[in-house]
Amino acid sequence: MTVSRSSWFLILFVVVAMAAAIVLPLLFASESRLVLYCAHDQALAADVIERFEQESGIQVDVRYDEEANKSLGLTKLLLAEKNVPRADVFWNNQLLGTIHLQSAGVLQPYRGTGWERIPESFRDPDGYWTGFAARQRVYIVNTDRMEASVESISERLQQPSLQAVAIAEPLFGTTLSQYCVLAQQMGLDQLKDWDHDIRQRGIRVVRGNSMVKDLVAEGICDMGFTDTDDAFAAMDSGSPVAMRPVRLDTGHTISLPNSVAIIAGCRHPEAAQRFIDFVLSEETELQLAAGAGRQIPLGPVDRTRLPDDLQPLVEWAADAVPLANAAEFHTSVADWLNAESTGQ
Amino acid sequence: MTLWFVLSWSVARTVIVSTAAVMVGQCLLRDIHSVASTRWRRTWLIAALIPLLVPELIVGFNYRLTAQKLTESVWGTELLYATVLLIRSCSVSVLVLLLLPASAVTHESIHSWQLLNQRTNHYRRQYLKLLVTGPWRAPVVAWCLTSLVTFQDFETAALIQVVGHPVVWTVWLFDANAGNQSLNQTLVFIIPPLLMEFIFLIPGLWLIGLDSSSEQRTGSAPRRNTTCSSMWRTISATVLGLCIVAGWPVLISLPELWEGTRTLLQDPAAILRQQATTFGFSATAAAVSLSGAVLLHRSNKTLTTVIFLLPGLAGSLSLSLILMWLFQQPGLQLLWDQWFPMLLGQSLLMLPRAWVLVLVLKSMVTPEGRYSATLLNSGQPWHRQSASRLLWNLESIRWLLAAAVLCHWCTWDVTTASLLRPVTVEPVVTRLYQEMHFSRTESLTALSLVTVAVPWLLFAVMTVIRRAISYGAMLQLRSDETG
Repeated sequence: MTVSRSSWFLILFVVVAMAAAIVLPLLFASESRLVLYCAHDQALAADVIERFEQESGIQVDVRYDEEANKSLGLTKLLLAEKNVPRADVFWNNQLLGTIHLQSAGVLQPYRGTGWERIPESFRDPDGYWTGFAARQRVYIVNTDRMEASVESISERLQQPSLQAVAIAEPLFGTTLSQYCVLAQQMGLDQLKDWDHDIRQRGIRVVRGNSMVKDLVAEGICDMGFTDTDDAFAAMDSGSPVAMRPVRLDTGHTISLPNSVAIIAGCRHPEAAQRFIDFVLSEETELQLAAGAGRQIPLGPVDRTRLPDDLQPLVEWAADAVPLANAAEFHTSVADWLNAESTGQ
Repeated sequence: MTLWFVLSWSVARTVIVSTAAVMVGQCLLRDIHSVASTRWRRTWLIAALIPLLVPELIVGFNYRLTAQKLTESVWGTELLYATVLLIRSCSVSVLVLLLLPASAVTHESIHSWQLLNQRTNHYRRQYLKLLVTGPWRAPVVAWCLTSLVTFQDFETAALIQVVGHPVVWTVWLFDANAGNQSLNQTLVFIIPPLLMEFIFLIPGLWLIGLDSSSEQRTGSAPRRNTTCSSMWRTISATVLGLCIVAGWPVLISLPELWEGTRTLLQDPAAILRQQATTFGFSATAAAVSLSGAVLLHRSNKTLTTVIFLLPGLAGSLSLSLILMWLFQQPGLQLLWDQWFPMLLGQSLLMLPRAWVLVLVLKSMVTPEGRYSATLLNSGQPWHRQSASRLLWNLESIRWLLAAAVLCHWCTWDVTTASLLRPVTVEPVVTRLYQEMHFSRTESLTALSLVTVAVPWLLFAVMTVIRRAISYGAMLQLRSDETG
């Protein structure tokens, strides 16, 4: 084998590759000014970030979460990078993980104009985090298979077999948030009993909310627990589905706001503050409300500018249980679920 | 589910799938060798190896809905997963059987030993040794490597798994880490599966080490006359496999291609940036791993080779988690969030495959052809030009092709890119994952097509450029001669 002959082409290959890797990205990107970790869905967040870049002139480098299967979780990554942070801002698609970061000393407070416009129940009093643009925890129902009424949902959940009901693995995401709320409401032991009961009755525990949506939309399951953005995705694609809010025994609904926070010791604090005020503004909440995910604005907005199908959700969000107390159960619930999952 | 439970399940599946894959692989290769026409033989061989090039991500995504419909049947889901694994494993098995040097133990020596027919322990031990190092050698080595590939699958399992099935240790490990376990704890969990992988590998490594000096390859075994039934068996098995892993996904995606292309064209700069970044990393990792593999072949040291190949053989999930832990240690933290961890991860992951490809390249070039080209190279300018063209056809184009194959594999490895990439880098494969999550199949289809095409397109462009240069030089020579 004559390596010297082919090595010329290898060198050429390396040179072309390096040029492509280094030069081309430089052609399209200016100097980095803000590093954003974004757990919100890329398709929904990208427009907001782009608008911020255009209006502020600040270049944003974004690291998105890659969903349950791929991501080790931005929350875990931020904890691992606590001593040498590379992110300036964390845009989480839920709240409890952000509160966990606060307790771990990863965040720094900021009370700007955005923080001021959000109701107290959705923000940290010291400004470590601020909630905005929420989703609701809902039952998604296949209307070809059952009636989407509160009574029929309740009846279905009482049946001995839950084979036709789906829920996402509660180890992650918003199902974990729902479990934390339930732990706060009923106590951890009762939550364990409830979880044991639904599993015994054969509920289908799948890998994510989108899978729940798919199972119900395809008619493989009659109903399931998911979030409003997934339910809207199914409705928009023409599937025969409807949604009803998950209500606790107290009558409260579960509202899952996005949250933003500045990372302690970040490299671009001024840009971070500008970004936070930007995403907490009325315009951004309206933009997210008009998007495919139909996020529910939490601050005061002109309701005439909201899509029609979002109007009832605003009412549901008004009944939401405060999540800050549920955060106390985050670690204990996660530890229990992890022990169950790994058999440790 | 405990780690031991999922490990047992995974090991059982691996043993069944790998055994079946080696049996099918042997039949396929035998039938392919029996085809008289060289062109058809090559075509069937390429067809049998194509499943190795179909991205696991695409296969997993396209069978996700099928898996959803099977949620009521544990065995149905397991069967679906095992079938997809089996097709890929058959390709691995065919490749290994094709490349493996023939054993020095001849059929005559085994027959002679059988004639002795003694009933002593020494006789039995020696007879077994002859069998293991003789006719069983190639299937055992193929089984070992096929087991490794089957056992460390993650992408397909993660996408197909709907309700706890198929039970796969890689998904369990990932969930444990993504849940509430620390990275250190996850690395402790990795130890038993890694030991299991070494156990799978040990017989193969031992057998390869026993007879590494042989030059003859089973791939050059004498041809048998083809029979109609064997030909049909080959055609059916290969076409069925291709339909399952490639045909069906392509067929159901094609109608959405136009709409997807229009969506992508709304932001061409972003697509170009992602493709350029992805290709840059993949091509560099391909070149690094290919160069490393050449050096390992040159060194001719088994232990060094094994040490360098082991990280890649551990699989992308284990490798990425270990590198992630490593680059978060105080001494190496500065390199975290740089290009180096991702490039290192991809290069190490590709090194075993590059090593196999170098073996293929070595087996393809005849010393006579190369020698003739070298002799020509020292003659007149016109001869040198012909020699250059000959060497290009004999070697360079094949090296480029090998680099393109590695580049393709690298591009489609989600785990390494996802876990080790710096913030500023967004490989196209992570975007594809997002598209998958939201079931935006139109843009997923178009983006996948572009991503599949890029390495091959660049390979084609480089080939055309090389030919153009060669043609230009030839014209120059002619004009010099006539002038």
